[in-house]
Amino acid sequence: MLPTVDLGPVTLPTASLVIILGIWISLSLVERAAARLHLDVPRTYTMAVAAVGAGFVVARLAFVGLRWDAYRENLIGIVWPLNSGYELEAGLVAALATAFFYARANRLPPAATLDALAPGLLAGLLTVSLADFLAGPGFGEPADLFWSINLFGVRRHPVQIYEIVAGILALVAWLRALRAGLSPGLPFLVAAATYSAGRLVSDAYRANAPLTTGGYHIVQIASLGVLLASLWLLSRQTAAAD
Amino acid sequence: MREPEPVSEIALPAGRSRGAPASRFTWVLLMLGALLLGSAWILYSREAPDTGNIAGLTEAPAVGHLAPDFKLDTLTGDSFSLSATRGQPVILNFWATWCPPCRVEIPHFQEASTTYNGQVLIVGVDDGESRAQVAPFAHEMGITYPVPLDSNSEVARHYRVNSLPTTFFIDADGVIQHIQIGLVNGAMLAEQIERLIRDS
Repeated sequence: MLPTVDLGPVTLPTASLVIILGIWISLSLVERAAARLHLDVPRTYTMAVAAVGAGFVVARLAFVGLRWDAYRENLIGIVWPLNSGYELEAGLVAALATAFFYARANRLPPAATLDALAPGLLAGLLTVSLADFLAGPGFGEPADLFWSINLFGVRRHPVQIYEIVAGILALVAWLRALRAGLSPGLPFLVAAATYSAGRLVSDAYRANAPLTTGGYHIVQIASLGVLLASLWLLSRQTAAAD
Repeated sequence: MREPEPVSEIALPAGRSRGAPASRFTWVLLMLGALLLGSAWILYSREAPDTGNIAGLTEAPAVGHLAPDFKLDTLTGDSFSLSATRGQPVILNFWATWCPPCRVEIPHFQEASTTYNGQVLIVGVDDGESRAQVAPFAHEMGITYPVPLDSNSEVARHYRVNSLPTTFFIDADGVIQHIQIGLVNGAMLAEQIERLIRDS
């Protein structure tokens, strides 16, 4: 819909701009949540920044390392352009490992820290959906509804908007859980359950969803797994708290 | 600075419970309901396994859509039609002689056209220039792949190319799999080509 933004003579890719803005918003939300939860704000914020940084660098280096023959002749290509060329799985593992070891080394309380990270993670996911809506490869199934969007002459489900709604609902659920004074860890689980339930529903309307060989939506299967795991942990945590 | 208060010592609002007031039975019921409804929804949403059918796809310059067809004369005077390339992955690079990043990436395309000859077709659509402007440049750069001349930028407008270079990676079925706005380096090109060959 809007793949690039023109700033005078400079053309910038919209998706990358939205992702950069999203990272900044996510980190700000983590900082505010940490303060609200009376956590060690500088350390919690540093953990989030370190996780994002490590994820970014490792995702890039893994991509470069796997294709070293191509980069050996073009070393500048390692650092530019940066709008593609990442191994996402490697980045995710690096980010999680960094957050885990930093939290452990600094003795951050695990459950409450997860509560502080929840709005940042949700904002990150919302940003990815927004970037995909504006300039990404995703699009919905054809549908003639009053809220359908016209994409190259075909009216379709605005599937990324559904994802954004799921994210906003999860943020509201997290905030309500926090205000209700639930035990540490429970707001994170409530947010995870809400968001995964939303994605379980919404991904059915995505036209180019990744599928298993049997034709099942991979995101739906993963979402159901996260939903069930969240509910199970919620039941255990609330039982323990009671 | 105030010392952070340990979480375990945070007082709960008066009258509020730490846990949701749900019994074990309620939780089991909730999980079973989620499992059954979720599984049913996944089954309902299941799509026919990919058979390579592109009948339902529309033409649009976007990922997941059929690449819009066009017909142009090339630098060598031949006629080039995108639809005639169906059955082979195509890399459609929009460029111009005045564009510095295009100059940087052209050797990668030239090398790929030799390395992957017969597996992938590299096509360099020149945007908005005449044969007289393009021919000496193409000779200097040693371009041997097809260079259709989009002298009035009609195809570039149809593909919504707002900046140069822009490259479309199109699979053997004619479906756009990736769009790179800006410079393509050798590694990215190799990665995308291998993906196109693998998926074809």
